[in-house]
Amino acid sequence: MPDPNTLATIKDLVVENVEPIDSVDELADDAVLRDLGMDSMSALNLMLDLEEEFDVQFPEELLTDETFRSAASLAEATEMLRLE
Amino acid sequence: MTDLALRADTTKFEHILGQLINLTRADPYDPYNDIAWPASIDGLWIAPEFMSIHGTRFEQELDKETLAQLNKWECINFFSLNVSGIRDLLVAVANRLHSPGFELVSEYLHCLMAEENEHMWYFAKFCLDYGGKIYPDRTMAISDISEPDIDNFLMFVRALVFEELVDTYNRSMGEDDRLDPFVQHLNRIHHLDEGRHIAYGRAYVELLHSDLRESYPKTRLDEIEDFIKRFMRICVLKLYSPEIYRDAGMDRPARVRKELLSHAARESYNRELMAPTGRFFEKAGILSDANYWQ
Repeated sequence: MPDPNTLATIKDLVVENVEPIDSVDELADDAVLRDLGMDSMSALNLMLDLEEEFDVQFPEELLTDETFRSAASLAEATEMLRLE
Repeated sequence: MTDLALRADTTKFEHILGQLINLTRADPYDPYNDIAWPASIDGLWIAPEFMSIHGTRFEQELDKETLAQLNKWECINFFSLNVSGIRDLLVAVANRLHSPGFELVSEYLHCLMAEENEHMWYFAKFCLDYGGKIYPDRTMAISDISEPDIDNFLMFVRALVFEELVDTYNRSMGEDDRLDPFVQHLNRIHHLDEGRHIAYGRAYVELLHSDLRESYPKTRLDEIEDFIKRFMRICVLKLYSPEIYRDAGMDRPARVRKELLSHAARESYNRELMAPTGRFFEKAGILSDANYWQ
C-alpha cells in the first residue's frame, strides 16, 4: 500500500493536470485515469510535476499505461523510484 | 477490417508521386560520404529566436555561460526530437510497405524511408558526437483508435505535423549565417529533403481524409480533429524539456518549463509556430479552424 501522504499529493497533481477531473473527491485511488480523460499531453505534464515534487525521474520503461493507470499505481511507482 | 485502399480520385496524386520519385532519385547528395564532420561545434548551435526562453526574463538574467550551455542543449534536444520522430515514422511506414491498401504509395515510401534513414543517422551522430547523448522521447501514446483507416490517416498526419514543425526550424536556420557553419549545413540539407516529404504528406493526408469524410459521421470527424490538435500541441511542448534546463545548469527545471509555458511571449510563439500547418489542415477541410493552441 502506498503512503497516504504520497497518494494525496499525487491525487492533487492529477486533478491539477487532468482537466476533466474537477476535484480530489471524485478521484478514487484506483480509478482509471485514461477513462477519466487523461491524454498524452496531460500524462506528460503530470509526469513532469511528479518528478519535480518527489525529486525522481521516470525512466522510459516506466512510461507505460500500467504505471499511469491510476493514482495508486503512480504512487507505487513513485515510491519505488524514491527508494532507488 | 476496413479496406485501406484509396477510394478518392488519385490521378493528381499519382502525378505528384511520380514527380517526387524522380526528384528523389535525381538528388546526388550522399550524407554518408559527403558530410565532413568537424572536431567541435564552435559557434551558435541554434538561433536565439528559436530558443525556448526567447522573449522572457531568462534571456537577460542567465549568465553568458549558462546561455551558451542552453543554446547547445536546445539544439541537441531539437535534433533528438528528429531522431525519435523519424524512428516512429520508419517503424510505421515499414509496417505498411507493399501491404494491402498501400500498393500505390509503396514505391515512393521506399524513397522516403531511405532519406529518413539518412536523416536519423546524421542527427543521431551529431547528438552523440557533440552532446554525448540523445534525449529520449518521454511522451506516452494514449489513444483508443480502433478503426484501421482512421489510425492510418492519423499516422500520416503525425508524420506531417512533425515534419512541418522541424522544417520551420531547418528552413530558417539553414540560411542563418550566425550559426556554426556545420549546424547551418545540417539544417539546410534536411530542409532540402523535407520539402518533398511535406509535399507528399500534404497530398496524401488530404486524400485519406476525403475518404474518411465519406465513411464517418461528423461526431467522429470532430474527435479526429481534436486528436490532431492535441498532437500539434504535444509537438510544441516537446521543445520545452526540463532536461535541457537541467543540463544547462538551471535551478528547478520543471518550474522553468512551467513559467515559460505560461509566459505571454511564449504563448504567442507556440500559437504561431504551427499556424501554417493549421491553415493547411483548415483549407483541406481536415480541421474546422486552424487554432490548435487553445
